[in-house]
Amino acid sequence: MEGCELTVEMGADGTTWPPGLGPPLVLAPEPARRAGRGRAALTAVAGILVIGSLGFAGISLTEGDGADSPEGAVEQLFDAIDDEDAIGVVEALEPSERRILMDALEQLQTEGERLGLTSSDLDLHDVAGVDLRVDGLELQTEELRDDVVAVEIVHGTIASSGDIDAFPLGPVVRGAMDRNDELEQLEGDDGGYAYEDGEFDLGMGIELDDEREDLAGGRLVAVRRDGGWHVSLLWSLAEGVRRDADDVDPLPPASEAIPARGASSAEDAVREAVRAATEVDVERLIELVDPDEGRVLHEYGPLLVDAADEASDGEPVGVDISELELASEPGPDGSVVVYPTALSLSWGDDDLTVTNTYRDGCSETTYEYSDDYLEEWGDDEYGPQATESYSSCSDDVFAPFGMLTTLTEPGSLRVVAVERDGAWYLQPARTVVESVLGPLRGLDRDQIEQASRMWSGEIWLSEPDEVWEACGVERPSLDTTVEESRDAFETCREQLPDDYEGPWGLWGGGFLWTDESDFEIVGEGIDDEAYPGVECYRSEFDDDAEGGDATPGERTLGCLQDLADSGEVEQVEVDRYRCSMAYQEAFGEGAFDLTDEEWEQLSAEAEEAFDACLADLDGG
Amino acid sequence: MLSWALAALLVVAVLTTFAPWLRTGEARRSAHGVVRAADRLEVLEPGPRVASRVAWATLPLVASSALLALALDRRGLAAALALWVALIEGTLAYALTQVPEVADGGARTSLAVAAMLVAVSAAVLIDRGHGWRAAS
Repeated sequence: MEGCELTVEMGADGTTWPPGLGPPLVLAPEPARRAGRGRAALTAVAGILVIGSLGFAGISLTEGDGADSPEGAVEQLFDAIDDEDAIGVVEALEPSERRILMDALEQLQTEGERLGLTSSDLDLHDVAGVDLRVDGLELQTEELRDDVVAVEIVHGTIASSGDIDAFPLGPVVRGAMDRNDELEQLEGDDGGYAYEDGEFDLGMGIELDDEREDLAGGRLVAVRRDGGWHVSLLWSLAEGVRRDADDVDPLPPASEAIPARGASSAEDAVREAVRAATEVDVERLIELVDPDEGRVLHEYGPLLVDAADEASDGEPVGVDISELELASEPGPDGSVVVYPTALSLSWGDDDLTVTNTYRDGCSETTYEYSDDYLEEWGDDEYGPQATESYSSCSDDVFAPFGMLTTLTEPGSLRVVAVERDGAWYLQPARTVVESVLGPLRGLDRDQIEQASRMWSGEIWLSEPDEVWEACGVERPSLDTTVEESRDAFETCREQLPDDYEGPWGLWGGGFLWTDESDFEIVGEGIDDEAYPGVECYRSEFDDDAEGGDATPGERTLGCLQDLADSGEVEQVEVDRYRCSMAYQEAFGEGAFDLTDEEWEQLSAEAEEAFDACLADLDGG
Repeated sequence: MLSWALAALLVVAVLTTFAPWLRTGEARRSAHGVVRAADRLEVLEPGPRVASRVAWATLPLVASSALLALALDRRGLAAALALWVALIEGTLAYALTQVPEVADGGARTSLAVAAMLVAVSAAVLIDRGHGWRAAS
């Protein structure tokens, strides 16, 4: 091809073509057109999905909290109970109550785990071992206000059953239960200290098989918040109080609610509340309550003020506070916990003056009887003495009421205060939670283990050091086996000097040593010799007591009559016991199978028979 | 092929959010139910609570937007949106699966789907990166 030069033109993609012809025409292949249609369809579908998703987002973001109606809120609550759905139960509640409950449950779970009372398996979302069933719920409503509706349960039942083995009990409780089983085996059928199987294994005497309760007559209050209806426990409680009054007043309109008026500091709020309480200034007390948590108190306030005025008749409650020193520390969610470091209060009447003094975590209560009272009721040995004192400390798990010291010691109260717009208010519900949890936080696992094991049968754990020192036996530790501990206790009881006068038994008062023993009680406690006839009453609970086919009551009556015949007890004691048998005869052995109505009816009949019998005695 | 895999995973990811994620007693909650309950029970601080509520309410929207982006051949955008879906869904699923007693099948499945979504989204982005380099 000499002298002939071939030239080509080249496109950007490398395609070549002869000069002057232009690039070749490329026709779109058929499959590509189909793909284009498919893509268009996909785009359309995706577009529709986007629009649908926009709707979903809108609904989700504007969806209100709560049910559509008051009945809906109550049904939601019972549905959640039926499902054992703790989250659902909390969701059905009024928002501010949810917060209180959630905080309380979380703190209880933390403390429970720390002390070994609950296992780490305890999940507040699903309490294992519990089965609840709600059936046949029928509701009717009564509007108290447009945002407050009472929902009455017309018909419905709740059944519960449980499996202790599946309960999320902690190692301390499980350990106590296991040792109780061991103790029972050691004791055999002779009784002894171990509680009988099934009754006190948990220290609670709870029967767990298919308990069915009638819900009819129950009344819950639903409140509307931000458009949604919620069940309110606090409003239900307040409504119960309102309806229990002799003259039931209507719920005041919201405009008549007592306004919130706080104090200048958390401690001032507590001081003002104490003053208001002692002066029965209920209005001031309510003013000091947090308007968020205590809204119900503000709104029911006018009724409460009237009720208090009527009850007190303008008189102060008669409590004199001579000393009140407060301290405070930060609480949860920006709150402040105020607690007394020293407190001295007294109250009483002409016959008795009670003084309670709290300092350094210990409380002492003194009862002082008047001379007139002692002259009438006093007894040299066992009646009230001129002055009686009891003391307990917040870390004493064997003190009366054990860990719930707040019930007996005002000094262990821990008040929660919160600041709102520069003023300080009190939070009553959180105060209750904090006052229960406060003493728990001061305990350690050994103390809880000691208490759990004592209450499940190892009664020697409650013996004070004085007993062990006096008997010369080394006190068994928590690690000592059940058999060795029991043997040590037996030895101690045998070796304890007859003239021992120190404290012994639970609370130092000999509360639990009630089994047969040759140990003569000299100190406080139940003394057979000092109380003639006590062995007769004891035989009532002794399944092995002699007496043929006689009922326990008849055995006791026969025993008392024998003592009366021999002049050891007065005949009137026998007669009074005979009158009291009206109760035994009325209930028989099937008392636990009775319905509430049957129980009340039998009680009323027995009381009537008892009173008539006593009247006959008095007449005689 | 990767685009189809991404599209399929996005659809599965959204569908699994409506499956049971949490067992509470005999009740079952979807992922949206879990977020709603957490919001009502104030489990999180106010800021994160609002953020999680918005993120979950818009999760199907983000996923469908990713599908739309794929349909329009915006593969990079689709992969980025898919990663967001995987992050939101995977975080909650991972948190729940740490408590096996309450985590239900939906949470476990979603965790696996979220992981696959991350892998495929990453593959799409890498593939797209190679394309750019080749073109340049």
